[in-house]
Amino acid sequence: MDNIKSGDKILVLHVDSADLTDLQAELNSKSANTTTSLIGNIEGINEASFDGVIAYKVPEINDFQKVLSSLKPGGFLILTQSSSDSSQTELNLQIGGFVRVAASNAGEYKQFVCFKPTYTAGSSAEVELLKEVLVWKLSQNVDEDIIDADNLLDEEDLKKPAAESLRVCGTTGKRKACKDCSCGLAQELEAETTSAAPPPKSSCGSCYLGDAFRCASCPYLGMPAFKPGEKVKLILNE
Amino acid sequence: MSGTFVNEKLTVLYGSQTGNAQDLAERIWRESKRFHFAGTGEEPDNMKQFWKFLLRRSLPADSLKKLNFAVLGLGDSSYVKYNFVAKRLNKRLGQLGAHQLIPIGLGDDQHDLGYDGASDPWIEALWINALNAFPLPQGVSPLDRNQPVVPRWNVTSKLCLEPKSVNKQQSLYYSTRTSKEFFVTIIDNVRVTTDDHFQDVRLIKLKTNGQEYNSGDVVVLRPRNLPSQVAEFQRILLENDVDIPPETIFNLSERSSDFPVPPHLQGPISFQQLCEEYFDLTSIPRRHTFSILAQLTDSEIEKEKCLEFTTAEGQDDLYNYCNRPRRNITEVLEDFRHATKNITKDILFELLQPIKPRDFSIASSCRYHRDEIHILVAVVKYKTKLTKERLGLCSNYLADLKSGDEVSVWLKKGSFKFPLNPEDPAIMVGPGTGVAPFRNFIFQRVNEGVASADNLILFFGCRSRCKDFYCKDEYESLQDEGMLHLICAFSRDQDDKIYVQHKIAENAKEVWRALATRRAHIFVAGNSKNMPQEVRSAFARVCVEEGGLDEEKAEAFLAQMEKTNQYQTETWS
Repeated sequence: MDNIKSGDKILVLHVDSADLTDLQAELNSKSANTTTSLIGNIEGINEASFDGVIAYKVPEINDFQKVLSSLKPGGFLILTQSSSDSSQTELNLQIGGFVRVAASNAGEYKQFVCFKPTYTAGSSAEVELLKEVLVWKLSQNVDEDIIDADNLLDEEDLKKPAAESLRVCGTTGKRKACKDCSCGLAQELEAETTSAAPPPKSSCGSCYLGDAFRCASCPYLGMPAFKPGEKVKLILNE
Repeated sequence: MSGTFVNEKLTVLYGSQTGNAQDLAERIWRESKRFHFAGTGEEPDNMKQFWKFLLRRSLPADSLKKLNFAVLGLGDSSYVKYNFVAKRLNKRLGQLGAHQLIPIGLGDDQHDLGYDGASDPWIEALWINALNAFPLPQGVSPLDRNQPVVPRWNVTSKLCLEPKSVNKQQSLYYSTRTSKEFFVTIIDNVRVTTDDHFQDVRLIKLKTNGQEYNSGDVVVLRPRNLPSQVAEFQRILLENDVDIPPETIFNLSERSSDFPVPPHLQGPISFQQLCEEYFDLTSIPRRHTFSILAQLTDSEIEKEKCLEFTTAEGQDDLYNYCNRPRRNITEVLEDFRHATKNITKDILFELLQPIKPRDFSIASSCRYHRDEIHILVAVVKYKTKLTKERLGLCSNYLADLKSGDEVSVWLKKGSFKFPLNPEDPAIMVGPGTGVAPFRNFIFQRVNEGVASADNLILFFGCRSRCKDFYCKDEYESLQDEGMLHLICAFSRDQDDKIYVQHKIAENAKEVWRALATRRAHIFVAGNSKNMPQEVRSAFARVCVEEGGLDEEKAEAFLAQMEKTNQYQTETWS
């Protein structure tokens, strides 16, 4: 329903008017200018007059062309159908002239969102076919005149990156405490600004998990993970 | 959920030499599915032809007006021509009327996060702008970000009852090798730095069948994981109840035509072969690896952490956990055991990267050193904050090779173009293992009988005359015979550091004479960082002091030399 903008002219096609209460409420909240019509009465609808069409819980649409023509160029169609009715729908929408067809599931229903193309039938645009064929003809081994590739580089390109930009902040040697720090480092870091006395040392609960979990003061840094309680010899570093 | 809406067709073109671009192309393709783009990925057969076509002067300025595009380059800012290919392509497409969706992405290997540093934000921006150009209609929404990762190939397996049905000695790549591949045998593998020097550098001599190569050419080989690495990986799997006996035979089949099984993985292969030759057990996990681990793990706390590593905000932490300490996939699997225990055979091919072939500059001359290829290899071993030492995959593989061992290799043209005219001097600046291509060229000229101290000027830099001055005897004997002018910079033999750039300044007169009066070509090779820039500045100063040019003219002079390939650089990290 995000396709709907305030003031849009919306046509709601339906089978049973009882279904419409919720939909109507939503459309009103968006200040849409709504017209409702039973799906069977679609013949009388004016051409190119709606920003969007919502076909709500309709078992089938016989004439997609009519729906398409009722939309302004670029207008949308949101079609909700029960899944059992919708096997051919996507194909029919595409054949019918809609573009950017997207299907999704909405509970036991299938919802299709698609658009009327922005070009209108009968309009034309120049297609530069011939020119492209000439340009992209890859003649093998023809020594064509080529530009000097070095001229593609300017002053900026010759510059090297600044040394600081290559560094990750981690090299400043930030000290970091483990998540459930029990050795006091977290408190120490917090207290750093108020320069409180360092708390007493106690063993860190995360040592056995490996370097990824250890705090900066862990004596086991540099060694692999081990099982809790496993006796691990601490190798004294120089 | 819409099953029928199909958005615009998105084509991902990639040119990939090491597999990095292909990896990113696959990621973009995967993510495009979230927005219902009909995606295809293609590696143009002939990038050169495609580019030459685009450069045609006759193409009208509106030829591509119906095209929307975005370019992501994967480069290295330590190179002079940083991302030039991508920059040129981006410009040219715009010139031909194509519509640029987002500014060019400049992936930089020098970034702390590697290519991900630039490609992550670029890909985010791509989707935002692609959706602006091609909005999803009503009722159609993008799929959730954390799409379940579907293994690209189906894997069936059986325990091999007859060990002989898979030739253990045969490489996984053997039956699909191209005609340019050939076997070489190790003649010897000698350490050329002293034992008390911090770095182990090898001169490895390979016996060929007389295959020809030129100066500047490169030999390519596929390293294997060390036996200890394979054992460690298999141990971690087993410890977490993932029991895949090494003799298990894998059979891979295609799940979708977008991801065909590559030729070398199409036959029956053993798990042991995959662990030795295919899976890179030392690769550093990236963002995507953690999406997979998040999916695999049944521990809430692990899942939370893994998902954190996949977010933009979590990149700092990812860097600290993986990239900075160079933590590899095997180690991460050990840390995230509740994910590891749920690994299935097909998921292995998503978690692990294939080992990439590696290039080495050939340090010998095929005429002088008949039937031989020599390479200079610095063995990569260093410490990070991880307790276990870091080992470079390829250099350590090569370090373990012994006389008589066989390796499959192929040749490739290097980027250096050496002067054909023996009258043209070559000024070669090659500290450390950078000297490799120069040893090649020097001995080529020696073999041709045209080598002289006038046309071969070598600036060699190392730490100490008595520790890492490799090939010293060879150079000194050539120098004695007037066939080479050797100038050395020993950085640590005295209090102040002396580097090759200082020696260039010291020999300014000779350098200028070669540049101004004889068509000298300058070559700079070696480990990147600051060296290439420092060396270039030194040459610029020579032009100013000896040539009397002002700074601007000196810069233009060097730039012109670079343009005409008279000043060439080949550096690696």
